[in-house]
Amino acid sequence: MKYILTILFLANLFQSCTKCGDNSEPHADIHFINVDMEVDSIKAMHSDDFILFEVNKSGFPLSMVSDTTTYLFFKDDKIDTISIQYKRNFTYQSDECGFIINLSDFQNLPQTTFDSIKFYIGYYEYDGYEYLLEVYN
Amino acid sequence: MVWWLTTGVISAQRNYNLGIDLTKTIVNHFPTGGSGVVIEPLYLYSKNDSKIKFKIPFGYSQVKMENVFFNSKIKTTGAYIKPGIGYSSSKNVVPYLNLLFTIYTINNTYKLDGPVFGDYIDEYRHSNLFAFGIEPNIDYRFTLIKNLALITNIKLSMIFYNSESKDFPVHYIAGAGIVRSSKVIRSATRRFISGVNIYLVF
Repeated sequence: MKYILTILFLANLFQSCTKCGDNSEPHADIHFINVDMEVDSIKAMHSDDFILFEVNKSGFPLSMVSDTTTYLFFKDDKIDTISIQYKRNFTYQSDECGFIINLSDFQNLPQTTFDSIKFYIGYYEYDGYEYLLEVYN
Repeated sequence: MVWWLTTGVISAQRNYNLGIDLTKTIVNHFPTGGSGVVIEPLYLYSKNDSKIKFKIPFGYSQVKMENVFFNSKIKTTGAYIKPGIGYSSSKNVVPYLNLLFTIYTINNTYKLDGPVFGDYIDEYRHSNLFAFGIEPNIDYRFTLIKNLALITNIKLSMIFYNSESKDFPVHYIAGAGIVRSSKVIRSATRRFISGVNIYLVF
């Protein structure tokens, strides 16, 4: 009986280690290369509105309801823009994780005021997809 | 139909019984927090005092379950028929072997939370899904009054084929029951589902 309970406990423990992909808004890390990014505020463009946004450890959220995400960086009277486009892929991962989103085919849009953006997509077995934008000026 | 003469009174003995499943029809809440409607009539046939008996439960079900899988609200609608044959010299205890044919439709609405840009909500529908299996079961009959009885049925459904896909979860098969739930069993479809039904027959 003790062995059965131990096996059941271990089986449950290993199953508990299932890592889910993004089943909520995905985030991207943005690294600015050779850019002085002291800003007064950051706003995210949402439909016709702008949302005041504070950068946190999770990075910059990317929209699931649109193929594009635009951020505006305000410093004094200057505004810099990052506007990107991507393909949204919704898939069913598992019963515990449900439906998840992953993004692909990133493109820089003309509204971007920086010189260029490089996109990196990483996949980690235990953390799912991670997105990195390197912004150059 | 058999007619016989008893003390001068002519009586008719029916070879068939009709019934309805009380457990599903009345109790429409499911252990994993769902709700719905399941109606399962029953047809029993046995010629004279033959040891061979026939049973055909059939039904319609519409079952909704929220969050049975993460971020999904699933509605399963289906119809099924379970023709079977039994063999027993007893009228009160009869083992049967039934086949299970079910056709069903899944509607799922899933939502991914988007605190900054808004939630993403989508839905899909898969129709003409099919499942096939067998259902060994045994009936215990308790006569209530003349021509009215309760049958307690203990069954084990074995699903041999189900048109499921890795792209969408199937949690409930009409006529068989809950085959998959993140709360009951993780990421695996059960092929064996046990259950108890109580039929009111007349």
